[in-house]
Parts: sequence; structure tokens; C-alpha cells
Amino acid sequence: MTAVATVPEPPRTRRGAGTATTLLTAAALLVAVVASLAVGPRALPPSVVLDALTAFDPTNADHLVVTEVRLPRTLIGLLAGLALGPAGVLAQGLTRNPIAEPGILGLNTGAALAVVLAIGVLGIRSLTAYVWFGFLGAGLAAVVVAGVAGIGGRSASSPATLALAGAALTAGLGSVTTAVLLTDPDAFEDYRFWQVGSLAGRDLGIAGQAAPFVLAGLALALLCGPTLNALALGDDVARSFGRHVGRDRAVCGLALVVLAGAATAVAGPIAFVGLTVPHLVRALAGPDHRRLLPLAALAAPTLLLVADVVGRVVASPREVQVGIVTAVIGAPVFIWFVRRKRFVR
Amino acid sequence: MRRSLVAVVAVLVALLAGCSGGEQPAGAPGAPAGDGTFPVTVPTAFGDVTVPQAPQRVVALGWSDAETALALGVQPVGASDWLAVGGDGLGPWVTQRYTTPPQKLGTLEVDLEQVAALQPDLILDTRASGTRERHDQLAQLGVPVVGIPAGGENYLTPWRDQLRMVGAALGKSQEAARLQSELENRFAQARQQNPALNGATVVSGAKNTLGEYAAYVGRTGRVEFLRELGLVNSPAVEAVPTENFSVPVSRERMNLLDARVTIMQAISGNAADITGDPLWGTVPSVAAGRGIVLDDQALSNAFASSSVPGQLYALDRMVAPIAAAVAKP
Amino acid sequence: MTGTERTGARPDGAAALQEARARSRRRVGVAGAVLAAAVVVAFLATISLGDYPIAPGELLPSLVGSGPARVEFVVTRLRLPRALAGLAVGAALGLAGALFQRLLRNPLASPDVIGVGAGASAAAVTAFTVFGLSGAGVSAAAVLGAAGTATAIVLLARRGRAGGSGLHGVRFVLIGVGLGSALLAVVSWLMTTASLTTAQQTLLWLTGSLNNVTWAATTPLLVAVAVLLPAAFVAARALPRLELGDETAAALGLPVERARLALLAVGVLLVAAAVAVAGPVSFVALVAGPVAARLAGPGRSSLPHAALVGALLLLAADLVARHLIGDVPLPVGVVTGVVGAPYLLWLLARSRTRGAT
Repeated sequence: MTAVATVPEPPRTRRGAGTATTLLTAAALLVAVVASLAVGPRALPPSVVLDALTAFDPTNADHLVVTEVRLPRTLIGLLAGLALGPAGVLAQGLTRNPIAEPGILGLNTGAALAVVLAIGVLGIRSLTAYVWFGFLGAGLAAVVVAGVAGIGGRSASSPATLALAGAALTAGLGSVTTAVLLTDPDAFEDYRFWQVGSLAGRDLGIAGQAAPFVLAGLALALLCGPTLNALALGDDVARSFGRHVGRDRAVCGLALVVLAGAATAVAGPIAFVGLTVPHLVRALAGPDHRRLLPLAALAAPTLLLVADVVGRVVASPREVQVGIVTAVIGAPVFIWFVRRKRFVR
Repeated sequence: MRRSLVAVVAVLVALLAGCSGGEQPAGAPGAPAGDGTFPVTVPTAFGDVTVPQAPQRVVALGWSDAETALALGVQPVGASDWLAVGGDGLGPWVTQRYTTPPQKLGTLEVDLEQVAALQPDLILDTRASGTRERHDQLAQLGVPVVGIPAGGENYLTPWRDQLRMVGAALGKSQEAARLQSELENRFAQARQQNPALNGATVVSGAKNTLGEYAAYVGRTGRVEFLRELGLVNSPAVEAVPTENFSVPVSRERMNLLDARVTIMQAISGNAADITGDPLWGTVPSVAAGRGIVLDDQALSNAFASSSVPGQLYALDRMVAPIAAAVAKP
Repeated sequence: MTGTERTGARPDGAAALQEARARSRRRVGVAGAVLAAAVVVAFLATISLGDYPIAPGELLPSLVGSGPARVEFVVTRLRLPRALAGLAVGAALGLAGALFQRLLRNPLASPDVIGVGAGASAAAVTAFTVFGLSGAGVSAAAVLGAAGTATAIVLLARRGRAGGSGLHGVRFVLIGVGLGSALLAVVSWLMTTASLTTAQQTLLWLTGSLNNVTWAATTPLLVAVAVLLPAAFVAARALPRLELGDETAAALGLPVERARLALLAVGVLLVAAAVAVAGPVSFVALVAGPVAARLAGPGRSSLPHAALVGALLLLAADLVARHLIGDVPLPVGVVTGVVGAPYLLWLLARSRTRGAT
């Protein structure tokens, strides 16, 4: 053991402040949803947006922009966020590691590799099918990372080892991905657009495919609050409270895999959301995982939708995909967080 | 602008020449007059290249260089497969086939030793990235390298320049001129039979798997082909500044795709990706029945090849639907 | 596990290391000799094998300039610069990786993993997708990107208001990984905005390749490595003391901060020189150190071994990429990556079963 992190211990908040926080977060999410429906390269007055939702006219191009472009991407953003926020809390809680996150852990690359193999080897060329391969790949990568990097293990790995494990896994799987792509320009053409992480171009069918997984994973995750609270005290303490540590961990690990896989499947690899959101909500609501999980489920879609709206307007007429925006916003937040922490050798 | 002028002049010359063929086109400097007389000198972006004697072992590295050499009756011993069609690297549009398949060579990255091992006496690289670095690497082999023409950087060598340069280097200038007028006559014929095409605006584009649309700009081979038919690339597309081959079109602003006729291909090869998109139907030209969706991968590749055989193949398959679309109100 | 733990100062550390060193001196020597021999074999294979058939008897005359012109061209202008570049790139990456791993005390902390490679990539990709540069321009951008990113990581990793010792291993690694992922996101975005051929060119560069390396690239690389290699070994003399912990090292009279910065600078420059010529070839820097340590035993002299392992890996992987897969030679980075990924997983699994690092 050369480096051990201190688990962050934000001050406990007062009762009552909790309800206010939840309400504020929910309000912020509502604002983000409205912005996502109202803002885009095509200027649409709010009344038109409202008409499109309440009195839809399939021959009206403005209405179609709302229902075919903005509504699906808002729903995809909601789904991906609902999955990524709690997935981040689960990853950090299960590993007792403040930097654990699906993207940092390399799950995204697992999904990417599966998608590339689907395109390059099996010749599959549709976003709908990528959903399933992305899901499969993220799931497999999660199992691998869980096995090798210590999720579900007895001791917490250091943040550095986890981060490096993820970065190195990303590099390794990335090389295999490259080997396929170099020999197949068509596969590469599809892949380069898939791999940035985007809410665009997904239709409601994909949202429908992924929704059951997100909801089931979310339900399972919300049950994990007490488990994570107990694990935070260490396995021995948790056991002394009469908890089945191994079983609890397995259940919450399953929730993590399902959520991370579903998020990658719908939106492609999106980094940093699962990392920053848990820290933000922890700063707002204290360390109780029973509060953190639902709050993260509200805050992550907010962040994702805001990032997506920013990406739509910032480099017009080109779009900056949401995965890029979250990485560029998320990295400074991550670095700020790392600088604030005390790491002792 | 200069190139389109050249194209216009060449078209006029071809029209005047009628079906006789064999005429040297105007605006094609440096092409030697005779056939089979060596040495020949071919001007390129990297200076004049002299081919001392009739090449026996030709290595074709540029985009469509191999099929151009084949069309002139010369079989390259090594070739790059830019469109990744596989096999011997020839798409179904190429009528002239190999008797001996060539050594397959890399595209973006060519292994010099593989080329050296083929003992070439001529290297064709008339349509490629066109960087000085690539040229200098190939030039090390001590074999004449016919690189891109001036202004042909970034895979934008027009088909006439490619044909003329390959023809000159192979000592087949007359054959090249004959092929050129054959294709020009076919274009002229298409224009004559479909006068409505003249001056009609066109948008040619593609949709990627992320659901984003893009429209090709005027200097690409695809638009050049359409221009030969008399069509004009949409001024709205041309007005968008870009260094790329295409400009992005947001699904929220599909009106940018509007023109007299709109041609779209799915990068994934799945036309339903486009026809199933309700917003595709909101493009005014598409709503009026003047939208064309290309779902044939071979046709798409032929269209992209910007070679004589590729364009002949595309002419057979695209003129009728384009004319039908333009004819609609 | 949630508390803090000081593991740096081990009173018996120096003695134990010296003892181990004494025991393994012979093994170190043997391993070094075997590695050097293997590198020579790989080097000779690189200059004698290829698509252009050259008889063994023609090789030597062509090297000294008395063979047939074509043969001489292939050997001295194509194979020799490639083999020397492979040697230098591999040695530079292997050495830099081992330096980083020992400095940051983590077997995974190689420069390609902690963001230096990502910085070089982002700069190089920007150079050719946005500014349309090629060749030397891209190489220069890669060097600047690597150096710039490393500087940013060092500055960000310095302790802010709290004062105290500036550079911190864990913080350095985390900031590097964070910055690296953001930079790779930028690369991804650039790849979606470029044309397909430019994006493919980007992918090719990002993979790492020795194809068509010429003297124009090899000569500066050899000069850089000839300067940096001795510099690295001089700077590395501080490593044993640094490994005793900052306090002990300072007590032994070592200017801790300066020694660490010097090591980092040499490591980054080695990586930059390698990446400028071959692109970010993956895994060589990551695996060379641990492999060398296994071969040479837990001795301190594994740095030269790491350089040899790096050179051997790169030359061998390049031979495989050129001759054993498909018609068209693949870039060497595909092979190092495909071989490196399983090794990495094994490394991770092992580090876990032995307790978290």
C-alpha cells in the first residue's frame, strides 16, 4: 500500500434542508428539460414547441423538429442521466473510492469494442443493434474491471490504481478496436460518430428498448442505499450489523452494470458525468447514500441536458456532441476535486 | 472557379468535336501529342516528371489510378484499394479486369519496400492526399512518380486531369483523349436528351449513423459529375464556408438540403435510415417527389470513384431518376 | 483502509535493497546479456527480412555501400532507418515507462496511460486536421503537446495553498488521467469533424507506426536519445533515495523536488521524441518496466533492462505487424496493443490478489 485515499466526509446537513435540496434539484431538472425542448439551431417560439406537444401536426416541419429531434434527445438524455448518476454513486460506494466512475473504469471502451466488432466482424449497421452490443460490451467490461480492479473485493484499491486500471483498459481495448477499424473504412465511418457519445440521432425506439433496463437498474440502485452506508463503515462493521456483505455487494454491482451498460447503449460513451454528479450531490446532501442515489438520479440528467444544449449552440452549424462537452466540463471539475483532496503517501 | 471554367471549355470543345473523338481538349496543358513516343514529360504539383521509356511495371497508388490505367489497357502490378471493395480492388463498374491480380498495397500508408519489391518503372499517385511528404517518400525509390496536378490536393484531382496525366505517363495520350471524349459525349448526350437538367440546382449528400446529414461541396467528384450533366450545386450549400468535402446539415435545418433535386445516400448503406426519417420528408424538394435516395453500395462507390468507368456506370443508373425528379413540378 | 497510512519510510529498506542487489547481481548480468542478444537478433531480422528478397550474402556489402543499387537502397534507406528508429523508440518508451513507474510508485503509471501520450496525440491531431500540417510539423506538434501536457500536469499537481512538498504521486496520476480523458475527447471530436480520409489518417497516427520512417526522422531521434539516455541514467541515480520517502531522501541531502522534476523532464522528453517519430505506440512504456523487473529480479539496475525490453518489444512487434498479418503491413501499434491488453489484465489481476497497490 503506497497510497490510500481518505473517503470524503462532507458535513451532515440539517433535516429540512434535505427536502429543499431535492425540490431545487427537481426544479433544475425541469428547467433543463424545457431548455432541451426549446433551444436548438432552428429558432422556435415557445408557443410552437407547446403546440407540437399538445396539438401535433405531422405536416408541420416545426412540429416535426420538436417531436423528431428535440423530444427524443431529451428523453435519451433523461434516460442516460438517470442511469449515469446512480451508477456513479454505486461505483464510488462499492469501491469506497472517490474517483470510481463507469467512464474512468473503462466500461465505455468495452461497449465501444463490442460495437466495433458488431460493425466490422458481423457487418451490422444500425444504431438499434448497437444498443444491444454496447450493452453487452459494457457489461462484460464491468465484470472484467470488477474482477481485476477490486470492485466487490474486500479492500479498497487506491484511486490511482483504479484510474490507471481504467485508463490502461481503455488503451488496451482501444488497440483491439483500432485493429478492426484500420482494415475497414466503412466500420470506421460508423464508429467515429458513435464513439463520441451523443444524444442525437437516436429515435424513440431506442429509448423504448433501453427504458426497462434503466428503470429496473434504478429500482435496484435505490434499494442499495443502506448497503452502501454499511459498506462505507468497512466490511467488518457491516458484517457486525448482520449484513450479508457478499450478497449485498453482488446485488448493487448488478445494478451498476445494468445502469452503466444501458447508458452507454443509448448514448454512447459519456465520460465524467458519473464521476462529478455524486460529488456534487454529496456536497449538497451529505454522505447518506439513501439520499445520494435519488438526488444523483435527478442531478445527472440535468447536467447531461444542459451540456447537450450547450453543444447544440456553441459551434453552430456543427454540433459538439454531449460526450465532448461533459469531458471538457468534467475534467476541470475532476482536477479541482483532486487538488482539493489530501492524499497521503 | 478555374476548374469549372476548364470543365466548361472542355465540354464546349467536346460538343464541337461531336462524335469524331481523338481531339486534344483545350485547357489540358503539357499533354504530349503523340502516342508511344518516349521520353514523355508530365507536369505535376511537384514539378515535371519524365518517364524515359514505355513503363512495363506500373504501381497505381492514387484513388482510381488503377482503374484508369486498366481502362487505358495497362495492368498495374500493384494497386491500392481506396474504396475497400476487396478482392482485386475493382468494383463491379470496372469492365476492364486484371488477368493477373496485382499486389495489394496500402492506401493512406504505402509500404515502400512492398513497392520496391515490385520493381516498378512507374508510380501513379495522381489522386491522393498530395502532401510533399508522401511525394518525397515515393520519390526516394528512384522511379518516376506521377503525383497530383497543381491544385489537386486532398483527393480533389478532377477526372480529366487524372486521365490525362495517367494517359501521358503510360504513353497512351490518344487513348486517354478517346476515353475522355467518349465520356464527354455521354454527358453531352444526357444533357441533350434531358435539357431540363441544365441549370437545375442539386444537393448531393449523405446521412451518417448519428443521424446527421451532410451536403457535398462543389469541388468534390460527386458534384463534378452532376455538373457535367448541367446541374448546379445549391448556392446555399456553396455559401457555407468549409475546408471539408461536405458541410454539416442539422436535422433542425433540413431546408439547406432543398434544391431542384436532392440526392442522398446512407453511409450505412441502409436507405430506410433516410426514407424513414419524417424530417427528410419535410425538405421541400423531397415533399415534391424530387428526392432520390441511393441505396446501392456499388453505385455509391462508382459515383465516388470519379473515374471514367465509374462515371459511365453512374450515368447509366442515375440520369433517368434525376431527370424524372427534375421533371416533377 | 479508509484512514491514512504512511508507508514511505522503511528503516530497513535500503539495507534490504542492497542485499537483494547483491544476491541478484549475477541474474541481472545474465538477463542483461540475454536481452541485449535478443535485441541484436531482432535488429538483424528487421534489416534482413522484408518483401524485397535480399540474400544474406548481399546484406553486409549493401550496408557498406558496395551492393546492387536497389538492394542498397532497400537496406540503407528503408530498413536501416526503420530498424534504428524501432530500437530508439522502443528504448525511449521502455526507459520512460520504467522511470515514471518507479517515480510514481505504481506499475500502471506509464506516460502513455497518464495523459502525456494523450497530450501529444491531441496536439498532433489538431496539427493535421485543423492546420493541415504533415511530416515534421506534426512531429513538432506532438513534442510540444507532450511537453505542454506534462507541464500542465506538474503545475496542477503542485500542492496549492497547503504548501509542503509540491509534486505528489497520486495527485499527479489522477490529474494526468483526468486531463488525458478530456484531451482524448477533443481528439474524438476532431475525428468526427474531419473528412473520412483525414480521420483515417488520424487513426493511423494514433495507432503508432514505423512504416516509412526515413532518415529525416530517424537522425534527430537518434541524437535526442543519445543525449537523453545518459541523462536519464544520471537523473535516475536519485531514484533509490527518492524511494525511501521524501523525508529520508531530504535527510540524505537530496534536493527532492529538483530530482523529481529532472526525472519527470527526462521521461517526458524521451516519450516526446519517440511519439514524434512513431506516434503513441501503446503498451511498450507500460510493460517494459515490469517485464524487465521480472527478468532481472527485484534489483535496482532494471532501468537499462527496461530500455532493452522496450527495444525488443517494439522490434519484435514490428516484425509481426509487417510479415505475419494480411497483405498490407499493419502499423506496429496494433500488435503492441493486442499483445499488451491481456498482459495488462493479468497485471491488474495480480496486483489485486497481492493487495491493492
